[in-house]
Amino acid sequence: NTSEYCSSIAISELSADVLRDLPTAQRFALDIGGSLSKIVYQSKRKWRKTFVVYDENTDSHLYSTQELEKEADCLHFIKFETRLLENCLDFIYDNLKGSDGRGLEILRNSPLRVTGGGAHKYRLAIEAKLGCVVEKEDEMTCLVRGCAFMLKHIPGELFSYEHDSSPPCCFADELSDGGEPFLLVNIGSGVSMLKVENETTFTRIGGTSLGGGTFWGLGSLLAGTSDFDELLEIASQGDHRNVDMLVGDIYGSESASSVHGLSADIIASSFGKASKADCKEFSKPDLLRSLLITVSNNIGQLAFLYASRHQLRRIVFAGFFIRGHLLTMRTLTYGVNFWSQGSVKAYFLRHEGYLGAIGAFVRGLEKDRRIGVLTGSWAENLCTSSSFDVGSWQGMAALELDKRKELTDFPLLRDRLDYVPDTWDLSQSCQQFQAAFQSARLNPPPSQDLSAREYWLNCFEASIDRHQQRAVLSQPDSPSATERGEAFRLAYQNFFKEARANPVAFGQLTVRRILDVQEHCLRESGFPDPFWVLKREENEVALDGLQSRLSHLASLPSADLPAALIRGLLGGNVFDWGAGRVAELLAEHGKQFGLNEAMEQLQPRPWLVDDLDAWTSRLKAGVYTCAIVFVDNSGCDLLLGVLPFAIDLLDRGVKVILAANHGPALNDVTIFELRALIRRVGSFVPRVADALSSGRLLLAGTGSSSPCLDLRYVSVEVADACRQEQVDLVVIEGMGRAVHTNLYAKFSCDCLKLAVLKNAWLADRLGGNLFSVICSFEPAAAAAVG
Amino acid sequence: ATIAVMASRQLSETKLRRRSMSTSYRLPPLPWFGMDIGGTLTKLVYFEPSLDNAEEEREKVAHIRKYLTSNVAYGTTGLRDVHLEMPNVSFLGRSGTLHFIRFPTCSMSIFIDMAKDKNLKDLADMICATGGGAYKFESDFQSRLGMSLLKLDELECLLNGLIFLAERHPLECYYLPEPDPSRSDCLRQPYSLTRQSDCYPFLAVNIGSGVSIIAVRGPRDWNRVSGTSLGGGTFLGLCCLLTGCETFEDAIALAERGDSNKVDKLVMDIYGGDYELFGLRGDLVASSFGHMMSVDKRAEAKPEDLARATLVMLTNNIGSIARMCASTQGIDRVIFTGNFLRCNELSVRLLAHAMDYWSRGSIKALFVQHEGYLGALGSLMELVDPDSINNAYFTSESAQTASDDSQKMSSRKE
Repeated sequence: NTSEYCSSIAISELSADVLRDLPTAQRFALDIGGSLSKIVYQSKRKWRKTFVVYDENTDSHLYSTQELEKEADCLHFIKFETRLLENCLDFIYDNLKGSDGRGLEILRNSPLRVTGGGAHKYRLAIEAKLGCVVEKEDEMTCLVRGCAFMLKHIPGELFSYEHDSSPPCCFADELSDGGEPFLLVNIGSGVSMLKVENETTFTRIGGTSLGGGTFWGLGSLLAGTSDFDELLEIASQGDHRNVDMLVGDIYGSESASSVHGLSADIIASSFGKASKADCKEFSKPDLLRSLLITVSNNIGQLAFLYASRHQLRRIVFAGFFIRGHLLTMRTLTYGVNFWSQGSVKAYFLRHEGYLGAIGAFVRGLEKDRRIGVLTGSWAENLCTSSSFDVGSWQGMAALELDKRKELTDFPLLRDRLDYVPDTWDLSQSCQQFQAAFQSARLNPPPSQDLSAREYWLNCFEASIDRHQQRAVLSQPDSPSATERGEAFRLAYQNFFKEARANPVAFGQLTVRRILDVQEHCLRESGFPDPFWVLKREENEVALDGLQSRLSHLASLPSADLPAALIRGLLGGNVFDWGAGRVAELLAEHGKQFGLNEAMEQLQPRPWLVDDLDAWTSRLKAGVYTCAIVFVDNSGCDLLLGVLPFAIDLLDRGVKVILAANHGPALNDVTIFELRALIRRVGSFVPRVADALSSGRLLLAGTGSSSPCLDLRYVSVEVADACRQEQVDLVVIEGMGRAVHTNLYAKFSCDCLKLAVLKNAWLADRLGGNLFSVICSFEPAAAAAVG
Repeated sequence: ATIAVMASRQLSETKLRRRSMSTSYRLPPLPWFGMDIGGTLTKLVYFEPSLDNAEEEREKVAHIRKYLTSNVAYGTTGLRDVHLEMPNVSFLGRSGTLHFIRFPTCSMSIFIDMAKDKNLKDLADMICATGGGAYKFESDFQSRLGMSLLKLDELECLLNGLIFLAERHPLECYYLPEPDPSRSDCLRQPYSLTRQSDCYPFLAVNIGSGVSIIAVRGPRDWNRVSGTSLGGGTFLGLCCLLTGCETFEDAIALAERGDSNKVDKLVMDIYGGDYELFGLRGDLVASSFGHMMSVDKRAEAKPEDLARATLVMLTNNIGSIARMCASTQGIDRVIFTGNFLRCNELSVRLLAHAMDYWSRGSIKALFVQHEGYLGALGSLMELVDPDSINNAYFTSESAQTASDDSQKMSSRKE
């Protein structure tokens, strides 16, 4: 039979990609719905990873680097049509059996958790096929767990439908902290309304039988086809006004608006025209659109009624009915807005379809007392996950999450809920940032800043060749490097293609997001650290100059020292291989371009934002206990700019935490390199060795591998250190961490943000020029007022 | 807006005083009509005065009276609901009979022709009318008949009509002590609802083409709290599409014979029994029409079953919204009105049962005999107030809440 044949082809084509890690699968969970089913499985993936090897006895290099394969946990999400369930099970069985049978053994060790409407129906079939025990998991419980999981781990998971925006979704993270209870509306065959207090506590407060099954069933009757997605597609072509009785039909279109101030288009009676004997012919698109609106509007209204009855201000819609369909989301949102007059807000989830599956997975771990698997953070793999396409049910086809270190909120943020890491939303308008820009004393960008998206996409896309080249060069001994370099290029190019067509393909589009995609694509292609050679070179050169830099600083009158240190730090920050203009300068002048040359490039004072005097007098007051410094580039930046600044703080009796990335990103220094470098510095700068051994100088990994800094996700190490050492000064350095992100982050303690604008467009947008300087000192007290 | 509202409330009080003073002012000329022009049906209430006081009746008035009272059908689509007729009613100091007549709003043109034919405009130059059609057809009445329409607030007319009937007609209001959707012989128990009794507050749920939900706290203290576009028009529209039936009566007759379980997915169809975690019984509907995506089940479902499922879906949904509104408003009595319930015993049982089951007996569902004519009756009552000609509700707040459906909630919502 043809369709069966097609099905197995479909499955095996799928296998090349999303099912490739099946042989190392450790654990499964299944969500079987009426039309679509989802599998989540956990695998061990092998990554190339860079290790810094530090040997004090070798003098050829500062340190050496080894690339090794390392296993890491990965969660894979796949969806497929429920009618293909048996094929899919066969495929899983073959793969598990193929991996010397151990896979099957692991599968049979613990019950397979299955949720969804089909859990009951397919239970025996699954048990027979896979030879494992199936345990049914409650749908609602899984949904709530899954929702909590996604909100916790995936930034930009939540969005609202904004009809006047383009694309019409606005991302929000308002529910991620799990504070205020919210209403979770699951639109499956029927509808359940759940009041969710936290990830384990929820109550079903109501529901309705007019749900997805009603649209599907009634739609099938009206259209004569049972394909859910086809029904949605037909509906989107129709005009419900031919079928529904509108206020204008009853009052006359003029009276409705002139007498009552009502829109004549408001629906008075759904299907109200369908009974008129004189017009029996209705088109299928019109009927289906009317049906879709009827069902969605009604759910939106009931959701509002339940939310207001229980004093809930936020509604999250989930369930198979939505599947990213624009008209559905629009009508649900309209219903909530209309009845609540804006007092209740409707939200949707980017990975709504996977909530049940991941919930069942989490429930399984809880029951098997293996919850340890979940500790840590799970990050969306932006290279292997397929994009989210609003308006198409195919949105969110595949998802992969990589296990990362456990990450947490940076404890010194003044208001975690107010914190938005990114300065520009390249997805759409910058309106929301206007006030923030003013508070950062910068010119606000134009409200409809579409050119920003175009600029940054072009800017990063133009750098692909440069990165590909460097990546291949970083592995001179690998025969596959060229081929993998090509794979990197294709994957990264593909991202730009998608992002141009659909700016919200991976949630909110920001500079940070683009840089994340770049890192993910490199990592996925087996290039964990393309800059490692260059970084080591730069570090070695800079290290040679450290002694003379320190001597020079020591010769200055003490009153001039703070300003000189800041200038040095800013000069050091010019050394950024991520910035095109700088990369040119560095390539042109080579080693002749040193810290002094860099400092000469800096904008003369007064700087674009110039708080140098305020900072100097505050520093001299001697009020600080401990400072945390988020460092940026390797070489001059770290060793000649940041380190002397840190040594000065230590001299003033201030403890210092130097915080560096865990993973490589461009030429940013990693915590592993930092440790090697500081130990080496200690060998000829006794003050540093003393501070290190006495615990006054601490080195911490941030948990990040990005040139930007998202303070909602920092390592527990950094968070704990801030608390234990009573950090009262935060120093953030560099364009990625202090301009693209955190430009207007507010802290509960003093903060010093330092950056050189090494990009002409960015400088222009902020009202400055190339090499303009931001030296923003934000005292805690002022932050509390502002 | 506040001033306008105050004015209209004072006016209403004056009006009430005048009514109680009987005939101390000039009565409007006969015949006395009240009209309610809805999205689907037009309702007409006609007061036929008794002629026992040897009064001279004008020839044209007599002509109209004889035409209306000697027929039960008018043209091809007009009908008089004889079973609702109310004899011996005292109205404006006269005694007489109230007649209840309806015709489809799409036959309005025929009605206007008939009124022209009977020279209605020689007797009066104005008709009291409510409903959205009072706006839509105003210019037709003016141009073709030379009569103006006194446009009256829909919900106010509805409530006035309701209280008027409840006070004069002891059997007007009733409830089902033991609602059971499967039994057609459910006992109807009269319920006393008069202005004198503490009848407030209550929730009025008017099911016409669409549904309006009004919280009523006192004689002139009410606001529209909600509504839904899923109403009687939806039932009839869907039934026509699904079963090919053509009239409301046919659709109801089909529904009475059908089995919705052939069409709907029940909780037990999904969970194999009760959904115990949430206390949902296995025989509850989980998904209306939830079986119909299956080709086989579609082939098995008969038109009766589809009609029944449509009815069950809509009554459950209306009941659900009404119940949420009642509990949000702190109200425990819900009066269902509107033409959807005309000759629709089944829906009465379904609504009564749904309210009783889901509120666990804490909210009472009430029904009225003249379900669809309250608005028309209310508009007839406005005939008496000569001031009302100049003081229709254009400027009042209530006028802004007057449309059929789905509009902004009144700002008086608490």
